[in-house]
Amino acid sequence: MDEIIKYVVDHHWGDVASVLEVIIAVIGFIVTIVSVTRSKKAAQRAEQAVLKIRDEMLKVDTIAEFSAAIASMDEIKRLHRENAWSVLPDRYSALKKVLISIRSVNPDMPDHHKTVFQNAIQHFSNFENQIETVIATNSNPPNVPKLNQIISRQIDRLIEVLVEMKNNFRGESHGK
Amino acid sequence: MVNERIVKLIERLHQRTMDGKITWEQTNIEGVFQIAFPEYSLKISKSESSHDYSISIFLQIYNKDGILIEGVHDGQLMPMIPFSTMEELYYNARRTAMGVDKAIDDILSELD
Repeated sequence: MDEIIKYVVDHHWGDVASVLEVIIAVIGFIVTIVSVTRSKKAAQRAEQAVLKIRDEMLKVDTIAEFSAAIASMDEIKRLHRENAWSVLPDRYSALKKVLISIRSVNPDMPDHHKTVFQNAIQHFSNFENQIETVIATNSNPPNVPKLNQIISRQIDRLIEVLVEMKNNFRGESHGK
Repeated sequence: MVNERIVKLIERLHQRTMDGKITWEQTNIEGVFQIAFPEYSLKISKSESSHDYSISIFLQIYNKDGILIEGVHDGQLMPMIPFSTMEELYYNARRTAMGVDKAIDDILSELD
């Protein structure tokens, strides 16, 4: 046993062990840093993927809501033709909510798109007020061709906005 | 007392309408015209008194949900905004909404 200890001391194996210990510690430290960095990058990639999916879902929702709003406007035109005044205030109100919702979830939409939404929302508010008054006072119904002409104009403008939005969405997707 | 900013708004609106920089549009109510901005809209209308046949011009401001937030009429704006300015604003809003200038231009081009 003494011979072994003497051999180790004579050949400075203790120093070698210390140096090796330091080297192993440094390597371990580097490996840890690399692992942490990789984990952080993986977490960032995962977060970006989640944000991208959320963004894509918002776009899909926007397009679906847009289509629903346009379908609802066509339905309102039909109800006008049928003089179904009693059900119309609820339809106007529901449509306004959809338009307000589309605008709210797309706060970065350009001003000219916001203006189209604002104009449509205002027209349907006007309709709602007018028809509520007609129902409450049992007065003469409004001019249906005029109402439907206003709606047709809103549909045309909203379709233009929808097409522009779809093109922008495609551009963003290709750019990513 | 009408807010000074409303006076400024009407002056600018009058100028822009006269210059043809903004286009009003017809609403479901006869004689009422509106214009939209990204988060607000305005409506202008005229009413005639059944008592003395005097005319009043109204301007209303609506928020982004289409709810009325402010309304003024020519009587409240005097003397800062003369009636003639409000009347001119109304009739020019009507002209742009009804497409009168375009109609005249088209007819003139047909006549040439």
